[in-house]
Amino acid sequence: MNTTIFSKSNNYLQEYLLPSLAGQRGKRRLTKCQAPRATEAYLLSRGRASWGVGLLLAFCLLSCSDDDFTADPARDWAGTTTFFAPTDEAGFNTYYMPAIGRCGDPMPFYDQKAGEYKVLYLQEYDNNGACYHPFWGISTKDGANYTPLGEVLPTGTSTAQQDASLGTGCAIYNEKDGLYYIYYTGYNVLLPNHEVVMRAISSDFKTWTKDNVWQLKGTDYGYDANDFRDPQIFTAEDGLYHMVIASKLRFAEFKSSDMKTWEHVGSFPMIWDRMCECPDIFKMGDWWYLVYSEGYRAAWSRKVKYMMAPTFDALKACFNDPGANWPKDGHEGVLDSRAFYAAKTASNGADRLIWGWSPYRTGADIHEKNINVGADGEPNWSGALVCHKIIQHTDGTLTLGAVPAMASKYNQAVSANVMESNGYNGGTLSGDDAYVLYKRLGTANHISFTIKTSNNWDKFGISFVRGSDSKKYYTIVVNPEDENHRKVNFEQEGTEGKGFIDAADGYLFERPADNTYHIDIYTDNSVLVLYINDVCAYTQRIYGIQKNCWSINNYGGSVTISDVKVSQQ
Amino acid sequence: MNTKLLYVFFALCAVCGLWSCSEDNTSDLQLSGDCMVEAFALDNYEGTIDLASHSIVVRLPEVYETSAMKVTTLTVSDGAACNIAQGATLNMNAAQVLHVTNGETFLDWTVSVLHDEARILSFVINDIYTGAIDQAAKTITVYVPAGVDITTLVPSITYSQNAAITPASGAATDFTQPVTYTVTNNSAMSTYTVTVICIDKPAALFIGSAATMSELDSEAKVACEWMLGNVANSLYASFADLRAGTLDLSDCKVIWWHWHVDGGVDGHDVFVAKATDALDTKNELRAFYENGGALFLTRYATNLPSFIGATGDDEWTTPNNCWGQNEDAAELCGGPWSFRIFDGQNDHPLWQNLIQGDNANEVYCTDAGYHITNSTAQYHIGTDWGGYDSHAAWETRTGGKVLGIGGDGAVVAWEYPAHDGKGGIICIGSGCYDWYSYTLEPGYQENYHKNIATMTKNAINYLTK
Repeated sequence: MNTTIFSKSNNYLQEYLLPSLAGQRGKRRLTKCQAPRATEAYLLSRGRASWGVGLLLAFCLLSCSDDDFTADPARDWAGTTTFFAPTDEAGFNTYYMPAIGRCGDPMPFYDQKAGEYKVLYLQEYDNNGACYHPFWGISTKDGANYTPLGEVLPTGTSTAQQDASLGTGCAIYNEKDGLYYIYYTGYNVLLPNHEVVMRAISSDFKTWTKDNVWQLKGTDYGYDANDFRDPQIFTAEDGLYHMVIASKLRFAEFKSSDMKTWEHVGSFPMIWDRMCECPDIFKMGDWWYLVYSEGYRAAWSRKVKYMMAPTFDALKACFNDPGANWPKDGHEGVLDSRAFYAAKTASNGADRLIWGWSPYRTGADIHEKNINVGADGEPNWSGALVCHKIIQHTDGTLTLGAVPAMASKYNQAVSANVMESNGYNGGTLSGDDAYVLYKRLGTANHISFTIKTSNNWDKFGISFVRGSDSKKYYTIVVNPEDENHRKVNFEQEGTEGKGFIDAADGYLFERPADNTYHIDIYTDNSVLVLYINDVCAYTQRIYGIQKNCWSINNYGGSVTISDVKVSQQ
Repeated sequence: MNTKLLYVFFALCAVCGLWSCSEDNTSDLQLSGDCMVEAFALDNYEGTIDLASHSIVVRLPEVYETSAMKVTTLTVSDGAACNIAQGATLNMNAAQVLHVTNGETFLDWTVSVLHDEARILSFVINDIYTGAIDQAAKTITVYVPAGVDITTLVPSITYSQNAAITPASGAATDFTQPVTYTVTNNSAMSTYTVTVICIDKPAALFIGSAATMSELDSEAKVACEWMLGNVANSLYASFADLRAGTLDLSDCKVIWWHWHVDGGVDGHDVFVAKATDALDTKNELRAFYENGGALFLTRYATNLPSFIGATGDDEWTTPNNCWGQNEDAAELCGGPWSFRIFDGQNDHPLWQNLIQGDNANEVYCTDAGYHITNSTAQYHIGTDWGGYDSHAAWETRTGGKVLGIGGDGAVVAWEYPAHDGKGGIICIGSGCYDWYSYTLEPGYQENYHKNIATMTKNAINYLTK
């Protein structure tokens, strides 16, 4: 099955069978509030009323003083292979996630004054207030190490304001006036225009002043009142600033010479009836690109994709009916899996990086979470920020690879002991159910190895959360779709496993001519990114990777494994 | 042991420390200042300050540009500061917030504007007869059937918030002559002239299950409104009205039923289950038809002929291939949608004066940017299934004439010609025949969609000639 090749004739059924996407941005899961923990220090600091607690503590210490302690025996992590149910840390520092809440749509930009990337994002909580999604930010020089900036742009404080809640936008530095601008979406479903483009200005990126007068309303230019969001600004071939905005099934375009007054240029279509969000337009080498998130409610959509053309005008024409002019990359411009969404890019002049969020999963336990990928509906909204480096190939097509700083951040080499195996001999796996099980991983891991298959049809996989007693574990399968194509699938394997997980497969690519796969896998808590030979990037959420074993598997044929390395932070 | 003694020492220190801190409770926080807004005006229009809700409402004339208003007055409590200064310009298309601080205290005040609008929003007589409002001309026209005493009609009027109206809503009024209503709201005032037109004997009816036209679903309402504005002496009546026999139908030439159901009505049994109101009225409708009255039946109403004897005794001649979407998730038309004129029927009156597209044999119905529910009630033609091997077989069994077909040959428009004193019937079951789009895409230009009204006018003229 090849799910990345679509035909337009499917659209009617897909739209008819599946509810509209409208309003998905507002969909939230509510869970209970977190209460602050009453620590000893907190109790002691409460003043006069607490002196009794201190006294009690003193007596308690005295009365305990003659007891002898015997430590519990340490768990034998190195010598065992049985399943363990770990939990994620409160915040992630590589695939960034704040300690409380999660990251929504990232808005990266390169701050040339500060010489660093700044990535704004929509701060999402389990319980958002009436006014929600303030812009929070992080800064980084390399896409792997982050400094939190806290809240950058607050929401309104009244539900009567146009920007009661915020939607995606962009930050940009205007060299001409030396000021930073944030253009953002003011979101309020109680008002006639649910989405209006607004702006705030700062001289230092710390103190922001919202413009209380200027607004861009879609209805003033013939666009939809409710879909008019995600403004993105770039400099086009005419030397002017251009702003694209995602409206209902059309991109609106405006231009400006001073980043203050904007003139309507026109519009260009999205792909048939598929809403395309978070547009990002840039030029790289000889090519213009539009990176977007295709927000169609279907198991094959909700992916980050791109269009490419030699000019900006040709780029806009790529979306024209009757046929979208897809990049000639064999998979319609798909950049990653459904576990990577709302991505936008920024460049420091040398590298162009791309950030998207990897959705969190919900469920009663690790196993329920890992297969709850949103096959029947949407993946959960928001998660952890995943950063890739954009790789431009000689024909202009794009793929995603690891940012260089990742390898140096994961610089603590650890041994990759083989704990158990079947059909494994001298580095070669042969026959059905052949596998080699390696020792438990840490919280953040870099796994690398090379696989060579014996012919054009061999299939292999990499399993996680795999204990020697596991009845369910999680495998990224490199599946032969046909002799010359591979697709990365996600499966719940094991005697009680569900098998193929619909809506989590991701990425079709050409079989390497020499049948050699150089694999790099980075994990940070439950976020995992797999790269193959600069031709494939695949992000996935797998809960339970930490403190469990992993394996390389073979399915019937014969594959040879070499250079297995594991390093941690 | 040394460690344990240290614990004791720390614990005692903690106890002593708590004692020593307990007398020192003076705070540097400045919490005594007020954060009131004492006076506020935008473009010299004074705001009304509500202390309880911390809100300020500035009333403006009915038509007033609010996207850039100047703060002409702003007085706050002594010692307080505000994030917005007097002289600042604000976009008041939505509310703004004044953040007033004084020492460590603050209050947020929500500022909004309210236009002095003086409009009549709806005008319904005796809770049944809905007036057509022309806001530009400030006129309201209400059609009522004969038999209604127009000297004591009771209008229910809704009008702009905060406005006052005379004469009052709910007062029995004599509409023998046009009546003037005056709406006032602060600086705004409007006068509307209400004319009640009594239709003694309607020439045409639009029927439905709703008690009044205003309660029809959006699809039927748009069609009904078009009829009342374009077909002389036409009225809306409910099936209940027909059953009650309160209408004088002696001059009524045609009854139109345009029936939309979200999700569609697929086949005979579903029609029987869902069209109970219509089927309860089938005797009245059959009598009208057998006495020469014509019927125009569109969308799922095309099932009706099988139940009033138009297809002989065979009740199982309803459309056999039906589907439809929900109105609020209707499909976007990327370009014009069309169906085909059946061979040899190009000269039929139904297809005259239509806007032509690329193919003269096609009936173009929608334009790009229109959202269509694609609600279809058609007959599948073919030897594979459905019981109608060919168009000829369909005509033989139903007694109808094919007028229009879909791309696969399905019968989507047809008629049962008038015969033996019975009225004629025209049916359109094509999904392309659609009056209402829940939204229209930016840049939408109506062109081919005008053919829906033209086709309807053609049908009514043909049936009433």
